[in-house]
Amino acid sequence: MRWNRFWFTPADPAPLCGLRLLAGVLSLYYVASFSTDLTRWFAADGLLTTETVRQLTNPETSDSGAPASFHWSYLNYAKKPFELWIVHLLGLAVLALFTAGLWTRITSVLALVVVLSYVHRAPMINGQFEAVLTMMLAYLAIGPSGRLWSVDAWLAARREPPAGSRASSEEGSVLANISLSLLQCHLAALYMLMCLTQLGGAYDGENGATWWRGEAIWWLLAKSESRLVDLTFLHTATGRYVVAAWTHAIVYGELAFALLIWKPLARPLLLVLAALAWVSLIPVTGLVSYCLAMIVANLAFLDAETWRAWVPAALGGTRR
Amino acid sequence: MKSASMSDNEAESSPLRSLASLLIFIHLFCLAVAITANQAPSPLQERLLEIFRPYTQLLNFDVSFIRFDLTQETADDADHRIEYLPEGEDPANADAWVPLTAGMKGTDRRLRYQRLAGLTNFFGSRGDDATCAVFASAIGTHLAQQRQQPIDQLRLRLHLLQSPEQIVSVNLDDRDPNSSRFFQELYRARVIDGGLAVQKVEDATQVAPTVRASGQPARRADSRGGVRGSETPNATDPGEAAPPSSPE
Repeated sequence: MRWNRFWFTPADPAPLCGLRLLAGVLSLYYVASFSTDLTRWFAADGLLTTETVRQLTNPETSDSGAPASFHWSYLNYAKKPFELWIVHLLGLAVLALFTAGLWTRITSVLALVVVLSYVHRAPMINGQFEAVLTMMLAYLAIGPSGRLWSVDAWLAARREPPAGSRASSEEGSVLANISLSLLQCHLAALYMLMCLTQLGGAYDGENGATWWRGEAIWWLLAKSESRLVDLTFLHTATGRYVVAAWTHAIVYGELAFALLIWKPLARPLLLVLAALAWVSLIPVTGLVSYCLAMIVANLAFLDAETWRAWVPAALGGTRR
Repeated sequence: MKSASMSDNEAESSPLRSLASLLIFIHLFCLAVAITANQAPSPLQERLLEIFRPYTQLLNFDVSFIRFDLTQETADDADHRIEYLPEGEDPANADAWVPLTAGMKGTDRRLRYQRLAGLTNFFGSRGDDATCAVFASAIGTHLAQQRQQPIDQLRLRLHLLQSPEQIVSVNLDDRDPNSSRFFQELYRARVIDGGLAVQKVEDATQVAPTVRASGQPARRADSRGGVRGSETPNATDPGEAAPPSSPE
């Protein structure tokens, strides 16, 4: 049965372990980026007190009587600066342990709780990056993401003879397959969402439908307070062709990714093109973390052999 | 890959696999509803979202107010800024206004201030003064407590975008993306009682009644509308630029 084959065939956990390293670094960056403004945002006299957030996310119940929002965060209970700093440092420690792969089964779940707590503490200042990051962490918490390139694996290797530990690290895992497949499905759905929302813009005869008309990249690069590089020299007639080609490439690329990434033959090409597209969006949007998170998430489609070749090389020859 | 591990063998047993299949299906269904309801959910999707919200929102799978389309060439897609005026300064002096921002371009630290301004402007541009007052009061209270100098006023401005034609225009104001022509004020409030209350300033001669932030009817920031919209902001200063126009 195809359903069973797709979800329950034991898979090499290498992609999951590689993603743990990269998602862990992104999570550390995300939580650390609050450090300079921790009390400014979250303290009792901060910009977004728990009361303000409660007012904005609606404490009232919906028509059916159910609570209107579910934004639980342990940061809601820390009001004083020293309390905030204690939980902030503990959160960073958990993320560091997760990235290093120590007690990964527990720290992978705790890492998700930590990141979600920051996401839910002030949902109005979240963006696309948070959505992609929490998606990756949620699925990494399901599978054995610490079986390779982790402190857990190093400790296990010290306890077991080398032959035995190598065999266990190369064992297939059903949970690894479920975890990776869920991440792949979710990511493909996000790509489809991006494409559909871009093409769904209303057209009033003069403005709108900017992705259809090949102008969207212009309106991104014209945002002088957001862009990282000034590319307005593309206002010329030739430049507008470049802008149109760039815009269309983004839309068609997203559509192709959502539909064709499942074809093994198309996968390497799509991964390279997607990486190029996301890198190209960094200077015009200024959304550095989001674009990098998408590049990392795309690597869920990279095969296990490539992960096993690349990660040890990147870690300086460490096999475990 | 050699063989399944012990725990995985357990997962392969039929009842466990059936349960896992059911959970995967439910998860994918919740996800499909949450993702397809991103823009304009139907009444059915609204109802399903409400049912699934404890799961989808708690795990941040609910992406209904996140702009994955990046831009739709609307006023909401322009840059936004919140600025405050220290007490004793002249509101007419453009240099006296201090932007509420921090961090380098491209960092999430800076993006958070931009999103706060964008969301406040979203409500301001739609005339939702009650929600704007919640933001203004929170910001005013914070600034009043953090700074030695009290705050007199807060304002929210839209930084409009240049079209390709404006870049090569003979009009110097058109060619400068930071000229006053490209800024549009959507909301201005006087900060009273150290931010505990705010008073919307309609214009130089007209003043609206004081609005206290506490007890305001709350409005969901993560409601279906989100920060999306194609309406043209309703508060314009004479002589200021129109929303982003077509480059044609």
